[in-house]
Amino acid sequence: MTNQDKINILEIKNLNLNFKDNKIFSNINIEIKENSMVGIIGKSGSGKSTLLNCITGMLTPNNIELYYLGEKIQPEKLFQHIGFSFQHSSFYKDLTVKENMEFYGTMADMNKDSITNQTKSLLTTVGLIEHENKLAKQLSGGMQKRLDLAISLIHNPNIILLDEPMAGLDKDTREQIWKLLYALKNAGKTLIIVDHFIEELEQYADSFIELVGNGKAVVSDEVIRAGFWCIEITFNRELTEQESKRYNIYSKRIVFALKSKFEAKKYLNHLAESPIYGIILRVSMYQKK
Amino acid sequence: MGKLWAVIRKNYKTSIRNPEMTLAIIFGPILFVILIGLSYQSSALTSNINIGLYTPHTESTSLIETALQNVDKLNLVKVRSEQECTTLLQKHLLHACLIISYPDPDDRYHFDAKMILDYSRSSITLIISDTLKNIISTMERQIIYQSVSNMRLATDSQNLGFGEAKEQMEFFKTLISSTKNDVGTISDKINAESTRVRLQLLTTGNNLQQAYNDISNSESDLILQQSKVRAYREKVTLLKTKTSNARNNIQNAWRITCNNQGTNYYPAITENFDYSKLSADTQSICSMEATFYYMTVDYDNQLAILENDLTNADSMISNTIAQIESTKSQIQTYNLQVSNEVNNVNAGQLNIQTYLDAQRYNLDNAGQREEGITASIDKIQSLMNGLNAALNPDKLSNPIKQSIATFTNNDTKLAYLFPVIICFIVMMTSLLIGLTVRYYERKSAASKRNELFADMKYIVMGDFIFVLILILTELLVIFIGFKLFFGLDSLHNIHIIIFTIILYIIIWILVGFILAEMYDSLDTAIFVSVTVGILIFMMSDVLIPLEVYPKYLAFFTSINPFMMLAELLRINYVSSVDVTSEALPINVGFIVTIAVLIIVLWITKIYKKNQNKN
Repeated sequence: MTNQDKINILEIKNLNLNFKDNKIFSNINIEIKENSMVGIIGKSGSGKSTLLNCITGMLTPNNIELYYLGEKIQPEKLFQHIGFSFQHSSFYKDLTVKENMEFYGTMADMNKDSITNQTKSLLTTVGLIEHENKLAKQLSGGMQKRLDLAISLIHNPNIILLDEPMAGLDKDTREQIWKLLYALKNAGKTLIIVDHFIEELEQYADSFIELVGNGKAVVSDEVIRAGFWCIEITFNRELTEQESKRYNIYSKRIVFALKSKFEAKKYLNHLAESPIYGIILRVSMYQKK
Repeated sequence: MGKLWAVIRKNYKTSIRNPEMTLAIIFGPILFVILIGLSYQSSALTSNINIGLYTPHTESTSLIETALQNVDKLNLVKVRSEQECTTLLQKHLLHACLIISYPDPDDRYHFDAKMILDYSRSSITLIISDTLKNIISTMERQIIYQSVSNMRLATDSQNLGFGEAKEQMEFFKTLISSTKNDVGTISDKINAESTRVRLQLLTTGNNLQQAYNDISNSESDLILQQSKVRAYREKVTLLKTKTSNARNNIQNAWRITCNNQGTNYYPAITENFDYSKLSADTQSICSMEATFYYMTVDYDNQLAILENDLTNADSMISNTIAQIESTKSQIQTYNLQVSNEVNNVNAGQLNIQTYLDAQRYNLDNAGQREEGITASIDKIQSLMNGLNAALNPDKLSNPIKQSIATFTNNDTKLAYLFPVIICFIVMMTSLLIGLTVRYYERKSAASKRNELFADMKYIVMGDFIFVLILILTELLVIFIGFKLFFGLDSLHNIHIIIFTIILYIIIWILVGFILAEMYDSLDTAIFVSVTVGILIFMMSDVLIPLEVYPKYLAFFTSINPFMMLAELLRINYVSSVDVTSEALPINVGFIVTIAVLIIVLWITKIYKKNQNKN
């Protein structure tokens, strides 16, 4: 099923947000497909996080219409279908991993058994089950990000909003988190991600919402900055889990954005020597204008 | 409830895993209590007080020495001059100076004690003045010991004289009492005897009168009988006359009759008369006449006997009457004598009674005087006792025993600060912990998630309950500590006090919450909260008396929650009185205050939320 065939899990219509004389959002309409990963990109101050806050209800815009699975819904009702992972880890550092999970499970009106099961399941998913009794502050940055993600999922939402989930993380950790997000997407979740790592985002995202200024947003499948060298690879089949993990590729079509032509060629050479070379259907390299 | 409990549990866990927080919350109050408790012990207080002593007179150095020897628990220091003492005082090396001097060099029984105090340390001024008073008392005793020895010599002889006077008075008192008893007894006996004699005499008089009356009656009867006898005798005499006449008549008649017979009849009558010579008729008449004659003779003889008897009877009656008269006279004499005797007895009794009354009156007067004398003796004795007591130097030097009643069992001179300390702890801990917990909650990494995920009212309420439990636990620790150090036996209406303290805690927690909501910087919030706390503390009655404030300011100080709780605790703890009536309006007032604070908190949150949106 292609992205176009999917139904809209979330529709944002007529979003208007003004701050004094500045139009932050001007009549923005966005459709989010279910089981997709949507990247929100834009310059600093363009309103990426603000857009997320408008969706969650943390900010009350001048106007917004929200539709969940085609039905109009109030922002405060949408909350139960949304998980939010913040730019900076948002949990109690002096509580253990498990205690944090239990606390937010209780806050989400879940019963004790559900909390226990969900905690175990999520911590296993994010790879923190062995660290469940550690204090949150004792976790590494990547672990904390995964814990934050797990907490966001405690009430089993269908939509996950992530505000710069890779901020402050090293490359290896970022890769781990991306894999985790991709796995979540594969598990049926819809992810809306604000991130500055556009290259990585483009690698995993199905579509993009680019906030271009003057309160406008552009929705496209591909958004790569001008001047970047792009390598677009299309495989003739879906990659296996082992292949995805090994090559950090999680979709049938992938676009890598590299800063120079030299890096692009280097990457192509490297790819030519890899075992997955045989399943590559098409490769093209171009510079974004 | 589950959410609320989750927040409280979360706060508890995050708190105990934070060493600084744990130290501040758990060990803070314990350390505080130990610190205050130890420092407030009277021994610790007094042993650290340095007092400089100076006298310009060599004669008075003994007083200083006496103070140094006898005053324990104080650090007394001899200094060389008043100036040196003042200098040391200014350098805070001494707490007070005591300058002893004689106003009159010739008078060694009076001296001036000049105390120089450092009023900048008001908290310890009370103790210093108290200890200085003790030193001066010691010196007073030294002087009084000297004067007392002289007084004792003078009073000992007086005491002896008073003792002897008292003994004599006691003897007289006994004598008067005894005599009074004797007079009473004699008087009673005389009265009894007089009554008995008087009764006898009156009985005798009555008997004599009765005899007199009886004799008089007999006499009247006798006189009557005598008159009857005399009348009878007169009749007899008359009858004799008549009889004589009749006999003469008969004799004449007989003579006539019988003489015709030529016979001297008279002898014939008396002798055998021969009637044969007379005719029969004449004989019969003559015979009858003779018979009649003899009958009159007999009759006349009988009358004579009767007359004689009557005469004798008359005579006897007269004699009897005479005897009766004599007896009557005697009875009247006796009666008069009895009357006289009764009068004599009465007069005698009256005289004796009058005499005894006079004696009794005299004895009563003597008794009254004796009471007066006894009272005088007692007064003298009391004076002697007072004099003896006054001769005790200890009592003489402290004629009025002074004592400052503490409100605890222990003599902790600063224990009066307990209510204020409790109020201060309640205020500052509630304010700061409330502020800190709420601020950290608001600024914690989890705050954004809480805003999105958790119901904020549960978070705020959970924080509030957690802080309340925390402070109550701290207070419990403090109360137990103070119970050990000071004793809290005089704390009454404990339920009212606890309820009121909880209300105050709630107020300060809410103020802390408001400050935490108002400021984005913890430093600023803490600075403001401390400033607020100090301002409230300054506006209480603790440092600056309420009375010195202007009226408009005094109103605000009077409704200062700190002040009101301190006042309530002070009334309850220091004065140990029932505070039910005082607590009710205060509690109602604070419920209103709490309601206002909650509204302010709510408005603050709404304001902040709107600000965030913008």
